[in-house]
Amino acid sequence: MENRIKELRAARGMTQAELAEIISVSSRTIISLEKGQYNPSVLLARKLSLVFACPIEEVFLFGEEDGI
Amino acid sequence: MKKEILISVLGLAAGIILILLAMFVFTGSTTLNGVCYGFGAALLALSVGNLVGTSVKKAVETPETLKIQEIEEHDERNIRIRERAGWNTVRIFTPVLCFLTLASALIGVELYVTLAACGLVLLVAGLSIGSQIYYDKRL
Repeated sequence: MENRIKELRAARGMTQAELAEIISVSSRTIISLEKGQYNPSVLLARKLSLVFACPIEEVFLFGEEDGI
Repeated sequence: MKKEILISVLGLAAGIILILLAMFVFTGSTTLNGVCYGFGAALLALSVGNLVGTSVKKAVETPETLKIQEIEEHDERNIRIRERAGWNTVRIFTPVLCFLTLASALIGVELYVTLAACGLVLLVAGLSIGSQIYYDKRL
């Protein structure tokens, strides 16, 4: 699943460590999320959407390959 | 932390008792003597290691390191990694254990070794089935 975390984070001038601290995860989790290697839980996705103040669908780009 | 220290102290005491039993009660080169020495030494080493580790951890602990530790422990990616690592270990270890059990029976080692290996296979299978039933009901 693709996502726009890197783009949205950069737009807000946040570092990976800062974003990680805000949503209480490790920096490695943010790195994995940005690389698209790790799909987060609904709760983490919601936290990210709240931080970026936009709907989950705008942070995570659901495609046919996700079966949606 | 207190619970950890208590467990280590109990382990230390049990280890010392087992070694003393091996030295003064079950003397001679009997199986019981060896078992007492083996388990005693293992318990002693693990407990001392735990106590030293706990005291070092306490000495260098700051609110910042505690927060990082808390985050690392509850990080959902780390939890998933731990689960997958555990599952993979069991998946690889189970056939190895079965093979060793079969091999021990075929090459004619002492019966108690084969029985112990069989016990381990049954324990792993029991734990696996038990865990699946438990999580099937909970999740």
